[in-house]
Amino acid sequence: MDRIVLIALREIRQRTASRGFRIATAVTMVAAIAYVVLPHVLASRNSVKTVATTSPVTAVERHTLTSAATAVGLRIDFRTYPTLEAAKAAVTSGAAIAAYDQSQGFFVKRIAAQDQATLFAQSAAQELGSALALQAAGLNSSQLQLITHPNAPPVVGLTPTGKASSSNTKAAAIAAVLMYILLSQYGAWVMLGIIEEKSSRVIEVLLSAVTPRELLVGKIAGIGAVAVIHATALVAAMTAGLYVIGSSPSANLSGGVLWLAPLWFILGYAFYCTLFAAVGSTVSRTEDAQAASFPVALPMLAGYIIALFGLGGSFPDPLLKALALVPGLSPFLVPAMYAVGKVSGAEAMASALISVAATYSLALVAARIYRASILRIGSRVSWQEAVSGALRRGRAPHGRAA
Amino acid sequence: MLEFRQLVKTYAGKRALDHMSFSVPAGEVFGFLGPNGAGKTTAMRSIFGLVELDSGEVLYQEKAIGPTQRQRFGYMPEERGLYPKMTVLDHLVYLARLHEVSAAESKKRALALIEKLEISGGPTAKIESLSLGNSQRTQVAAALIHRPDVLVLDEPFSSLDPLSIDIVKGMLEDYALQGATVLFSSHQLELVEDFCKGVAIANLGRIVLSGRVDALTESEKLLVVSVKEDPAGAFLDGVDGISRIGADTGGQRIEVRDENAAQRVLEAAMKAGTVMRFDHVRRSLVEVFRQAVAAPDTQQEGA
Repeated sequence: MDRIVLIALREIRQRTASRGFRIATAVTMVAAIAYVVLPHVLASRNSVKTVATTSPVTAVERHTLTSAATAVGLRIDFRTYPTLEAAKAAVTSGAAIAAYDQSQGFFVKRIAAQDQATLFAQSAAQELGSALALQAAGLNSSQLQLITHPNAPPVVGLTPTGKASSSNTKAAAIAAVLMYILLSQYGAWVMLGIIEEKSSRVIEVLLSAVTPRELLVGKIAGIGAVAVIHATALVAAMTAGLYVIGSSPSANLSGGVLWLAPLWFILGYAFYCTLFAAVGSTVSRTEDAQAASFPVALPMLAGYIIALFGLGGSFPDPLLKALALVPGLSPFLVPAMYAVGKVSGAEAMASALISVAATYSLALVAARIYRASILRIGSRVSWQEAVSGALRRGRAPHGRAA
Repeated sequence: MLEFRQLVKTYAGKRALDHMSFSVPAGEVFGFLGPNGAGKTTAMRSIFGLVELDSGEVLYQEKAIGPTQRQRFGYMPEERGLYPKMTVLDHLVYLARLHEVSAAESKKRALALIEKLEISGGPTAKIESLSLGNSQRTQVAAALIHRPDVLVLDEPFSSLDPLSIDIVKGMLEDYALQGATVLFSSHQLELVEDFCKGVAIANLGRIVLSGRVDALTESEKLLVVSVKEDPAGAFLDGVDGISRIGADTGGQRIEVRDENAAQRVLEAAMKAGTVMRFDHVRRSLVEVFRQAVAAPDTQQEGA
């Protein structure tokens, strides 16, 4: 079997067998399901409001009021009170969102422009007025239904990415969060895995059997496969959550996001794991890892923050489009921007090509730094030493005499 | 045969290897000796391409060593290298597989080595749970698992108890007898003397002495003499042409500086009383080593 495959398989086996991986995966899967399901459950519970009435509602009233409530994002039920005063008291105490009396009309606690109860009452009053007028004109219930709920022709946008729906905005945020969690976790794994091989000195045994390139590629591929397993588990958990609440990924995301996010995860992993590998090779102790990896973590954090907060209008679109072309920032920005319609498919592909080219160039340098630094045990190799070592011919420019 | 030819390596202006040359024959265990900083580890690492030499080369069977040959070499570095979270069996199988041994054969060999080296805890023990000695035995197994043609071990006996030393020693002797080239470094000179047919002694990056252990330790000038009535050796005080080296339970150890001095010592001993012992003795490898590293500028070759 190919040695790179053997190295990758060892990484996959060791990482997935660890308790830490299993716990982390399970916890993030539960969090992913909760992220999808909980808001729905809470929203469902919170939106069931009571409308206080002074007599049992008719079919037309029930239908019209329920329809008006749905239009403003409410779910309602009805409760009959013996007097109008009792119904008003229920509104005042907060037990009911509004009171309705066939002769006196609607009562709300306070009339305010953006108040949900006010919006409901105004909408219900208008629709009920129309419905009752039509009923008085002698229309039967089917005719009433047709008039009050006509089959309106659909309105279709010709530019699919031109408008950010709330679900797409949510998708952009999810894409940025997942990208940051997965890239920082698995990039760190690549770095710490290399440091472990240096600190345990197993590196000398390995490099007596395989080349540095084989070892590096095998490790990155193996940990990358574990990252894909984790990402797939998270997406599966979210998808399951969506089906639980009666929805589906395709109902919440445009098709483009569904393939763009995984593609950018792979591109982002390739870019950052290359950097983390180079950093890891310059360090012999895990205590030094955080400080050494700080320059790599910075663009990752910047991309994450811009994707999370910059899309809401903090950054002008031309600036965002320019930043989306920057390798390192693009894995966070492009999927999120595509989800909210701030970047087109062609622009996303152009950014992907730039990222691939940058990663390839970076990999050539990182591999040389890795070869030059991996056998240096002891104090941290400075970037200056690592780069000058990489520019020299050969495999191990320094080491220890014995 | 493994041949180190004119190896030169400089670290930050300091010569670690200074035209180091010596050969290791196949089919025997060969000792590589030298004080700390003599260049042993650097030379051994150069076999595996872990050090970029400034000049010189390491040859195996008169050919430069490349990745293909290295696949048939086994290495145990000075700093032990094992994955702490892996089991002994998984670790050995993994290394065997990297050396292109089939999965089934790797497992078979690993289990056999674990049993032969008496690694306590067995195949399923995690490396991190092993004692130092068992960890070291596992490292020996890791170097042997793919049955290399050349076995290079850097300080394989350090930290091992006498029982572990016997086990590892026996295994290496058996392995060399099968035709392999076995090179190891050590500071345990008594062990090397007992164990190796040939040695090379390095100092300051150069080989200062090399050859067969028998030849290096043989000395016609070294005598031991014992007189029953004079165990302190006072009779030697008036004898010309000798140097007293010391005394042990066998008698007085002396070095004679000319051919007739031995005769004069014998005559003086007979006059002093009953001669219990009078014979040539070998130098210990410790003595040879001390003498060799004390004069590093002169390279010597044993028979």
